[in-house]
Amino acid sequence: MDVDNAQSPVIEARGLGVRFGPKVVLEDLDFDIRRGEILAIVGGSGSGKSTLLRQITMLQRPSAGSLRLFGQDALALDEGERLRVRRRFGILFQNGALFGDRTVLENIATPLWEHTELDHGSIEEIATIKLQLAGLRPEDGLLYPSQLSGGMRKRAAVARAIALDPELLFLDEPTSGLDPLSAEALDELVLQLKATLEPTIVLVTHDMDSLWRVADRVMLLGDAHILASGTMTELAASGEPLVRRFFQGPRGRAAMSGATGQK
Amino acid sequence: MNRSEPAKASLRLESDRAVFSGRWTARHIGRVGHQIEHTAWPAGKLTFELSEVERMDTAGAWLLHRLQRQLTSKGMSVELEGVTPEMQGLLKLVSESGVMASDLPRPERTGALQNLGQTSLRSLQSAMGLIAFVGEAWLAGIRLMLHPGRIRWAEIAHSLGEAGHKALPIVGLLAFLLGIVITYQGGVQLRQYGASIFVADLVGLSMLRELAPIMTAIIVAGRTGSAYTAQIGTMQVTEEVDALRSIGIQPMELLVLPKLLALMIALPLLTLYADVMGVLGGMVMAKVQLDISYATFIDRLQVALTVKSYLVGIGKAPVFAAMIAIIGCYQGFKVSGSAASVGRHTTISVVHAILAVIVVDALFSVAFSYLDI
Repeated sequence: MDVDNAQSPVIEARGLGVRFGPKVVLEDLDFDIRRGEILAIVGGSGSGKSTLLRQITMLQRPSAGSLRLFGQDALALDEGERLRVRRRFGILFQNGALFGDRTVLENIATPLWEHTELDHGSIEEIATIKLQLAGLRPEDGLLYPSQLSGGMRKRAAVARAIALDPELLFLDEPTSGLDPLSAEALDELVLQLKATLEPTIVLVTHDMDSLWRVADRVMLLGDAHILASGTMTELAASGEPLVRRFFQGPRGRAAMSGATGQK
Repeated sequence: MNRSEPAKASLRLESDRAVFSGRWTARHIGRVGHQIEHTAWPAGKLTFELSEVERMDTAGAWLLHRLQRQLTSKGMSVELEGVTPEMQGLLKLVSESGVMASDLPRPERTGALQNLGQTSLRSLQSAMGLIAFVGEAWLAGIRLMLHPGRIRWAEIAHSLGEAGHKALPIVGLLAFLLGIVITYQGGVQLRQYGASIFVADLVGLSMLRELAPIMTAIIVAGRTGSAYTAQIGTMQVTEEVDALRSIGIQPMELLVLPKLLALMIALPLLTLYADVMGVLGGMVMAKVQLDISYATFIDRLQVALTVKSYLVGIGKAPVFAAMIAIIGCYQGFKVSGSAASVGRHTTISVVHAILAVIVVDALFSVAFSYLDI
C-alpha cells in the first residue's frame, strides 16, 4: 500500500477537516501536491492557511479526513515513522523560529548534528554551503539571531530549513515583513532552490508578486473550503466572484500587469 | 518504510580508479567520511567512478568535491566518470559556495586575562546599574507621591493577589512543618533537663525573630521574584516594554512600582501568617511529643514573647520585599534578545535575591545585638 515513487503525489489529502470546538476552520478539503511543483496556498487572514500547514506538517492532527505524506498514511504512523517522514521535510516558520542562544551557523548545523554522523568540520562546511545558498556570507554565520535584520533572519531560517536537502519544503509567508527588494530576492532564492535541490515546495503567502513569479499552482482558501485551484493565469481569469475579489483587487491587478508585462 | 535499509555510501579503490557507490546523502556518508581520511591515495592520475551512486545531495557532493580539491592540491589529477546532470548541478553548486573548515571565519579568541577583566567589568557595571535602578525607582516613587492620581491601584491589587494571597498555602505549610521540626528536635534535648516547657520559648522566639521572616522571604524570592524577572524579560524580548514607552507609559511606573509596593505589603503579612502557622506547628508537636497542653503552651508563650520580638521579625520583611522586587525587576530589564536570556536572568534574579536576603538578615542580627534589641 505504501507507494512512494516519482509519479505519486507527495501529499494527498481527502476530506481533511479541522475544528476547534464548535468553530469549523477547514472542512472537507481534497487536494494533491505533486512532486517537484511549487504550490502556493493563499487566502484572507483567518482563512486557515497556517492551520492547514500545521496539519500537513504533522504538528497538529486533523479532526477529520485522511492525509498521506510520501504515500504513507500520516495519521497512522508511530513516533519513529513520523520522525523518518519529518526528516524528509524542512519548514520555514513565519517568524523564523531561530534558536536565540545559537549562532546562525549553529542553527543551520542543528539538523545536521541530530541526523547525520558527520564530523565537526564537515558539518560546519555543509552548513556554510547552505548559508551561502540562502544568500548570506560566511561571516554572518557567527552572528546571533538577535543581531540580524528581518531579511537576514528569513534567509538564515531558510538555510536551516534546507540543511538536510529536504524533498519537501514548507515556507510560511517567506516574504512577509520584508522590503520589496528583499522580498524579490527571497522569491529569487526560492526559484534557485527549486532549480538546484529540486524539492517540492508548499508556500503560504499573501504576496501577489510572489504568486506570479514563483508559484506553479495556487490554491485559494476561503470559508473553510478550497475556493479555487489552478495556475495564476487561470485564477486571474476566473469569473467566480470570490476568486475575482481576491485576485483582481488593485494589488492583484498591479502584480498581474507587472508579471505579464502589460500596461 | 520497513524495507531493507538503504545502502550507505561507500568507496573502494581499484588501482587508479576510485569507485563510489550507495547513497551519498547527508545521512549515509558519516562512515565514508572517516574512511576517506584514512585512505592511502596512489600518486599521479586518478579516476572517480560515480555511475554506481544511487543518490546524491549537497552534503555528499561536498564530500566528493572536497576530496577532489584536496587531491588536486597535492598535485594529482582527478577525472570524474559517470556524472549525471543532477550531480553536475550539485557539484557546481558546492564548488561555488563551499568553504573549507580551516578557512571559515572564527569568533575572536580572548585570553584568560581579558576574560577576567571583562567579567569583572561586567559585574561592576551590573552593580552600578542596580544602584542606578534603585535611584530611578525612588525618583519614580516620589513623582508618584506628588501625583497620587497616577498610582495604579488595579496593578497593585493584582500583584498583591499573585504575590500574597496565592502564596498562602505554601508559606503556611512550610512554616507549620518548620514549627514541628524545631519542636521535635528541641524537645528531645529539653526533656533531658526536665525543661520541656521551654520548647515554647524556643519555637516562639526562633520563628518570630528569624525563621518566619527569612523563610518566607526565600519562598517569595523563588516564587515571585522569578516571576517578575520572567514577565518583564519576556516583555523586553517581544518589545512590549518599548511599546509602553512609545505610548508614554513609564515602564517604571507600570511594571516596577506596583510590584514593589504590593510585595512590601504582602511580605510582612505573609511573615505574620508564617509566625502563626509555625507556632501552631510547635504547639501541636508539643502536645503530641511532650504532652504539653495547648493552654500551658500559650501561657508560656505570653511570658516568653514580647511585642519587640514580634516587631524585630516583621520589621525585616519590608526590607526583604524591596530587595526581592528590585532585583527581580532589574534582572528583567537586563534581558536581551532570546528565550535563553530570560532563563539566565531569572536564575540570576533568584540567586541574587536569596543571597541578598540572607546577607541582610545577618547584618540585621549584628546590628540588633549591637543595639541590644
